[in-house]
Amino acid sequence: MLGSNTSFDWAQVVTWGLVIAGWLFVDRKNNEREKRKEIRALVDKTQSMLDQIEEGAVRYHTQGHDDHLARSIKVCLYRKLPDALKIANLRGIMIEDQDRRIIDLRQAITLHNFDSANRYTPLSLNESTILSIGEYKDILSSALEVAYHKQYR
Amino acid sequence: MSRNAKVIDIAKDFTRYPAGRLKTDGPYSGEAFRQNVLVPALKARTPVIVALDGPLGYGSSFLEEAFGGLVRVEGFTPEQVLTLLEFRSSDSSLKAEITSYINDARQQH
Repeated sequence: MLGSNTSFDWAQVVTWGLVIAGWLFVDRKNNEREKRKEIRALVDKTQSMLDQIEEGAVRYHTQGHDDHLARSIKVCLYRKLPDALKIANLRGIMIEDQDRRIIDLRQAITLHNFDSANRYTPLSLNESTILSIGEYKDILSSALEVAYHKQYR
Repeated sequence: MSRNAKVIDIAKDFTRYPAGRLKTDGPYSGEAFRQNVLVPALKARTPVIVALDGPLGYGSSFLEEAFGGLVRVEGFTPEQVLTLLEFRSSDSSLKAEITSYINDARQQH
């Protein structure tokens, strides 16, 4: 009698164990999916910033010197972009040759024909400066995409 | 860098809005920063810390003229400049960019 009252129900233990393990598994997968979504949004936002930088830079170099636009481009290139990439790095997205790629883009936009009302020359869309801006923006944007896929393949 | 290094905070000691390469581009150009701030500090031959994070962005033309110009125009060697100057910034690409202008100016020296 005493034995039947205190008998251990192994079937129930196994059942609850499976329930808890399943819950932990699903919870972990959900967290991974949420993290992946957040980082995808961060990558998209940074790529969108790069497109805006390109658009502003092309407008600056082709449509006339504009102090306000020049300042806005500099803030993006030297503040917002490095900050966005730093956050991506902290979330595990590591871009190959990151500093070099940022410098290439900055130089394409601001090394020549920039920040000078006196010496400014409007450029046509097929000139090398304009083509370089698009090229270096694409290189950085693609490197960011590759870094994301390396982390979440 | 020694404790008695002079600190140049670009935002406080020059401007938060650096712009342009030459003095003809405006009062806060790379040339003006080099001639009025960097060269006097370097001629004292004491270490200088340059705090870069205050301004709201730079142009590469400003940076090249200010720092590359120390070698290209003022006659310092890249080794002298890189020994005397220490760059402080949370942005590693900014420090790398400035260092590349100093080293690249070597070829034109």
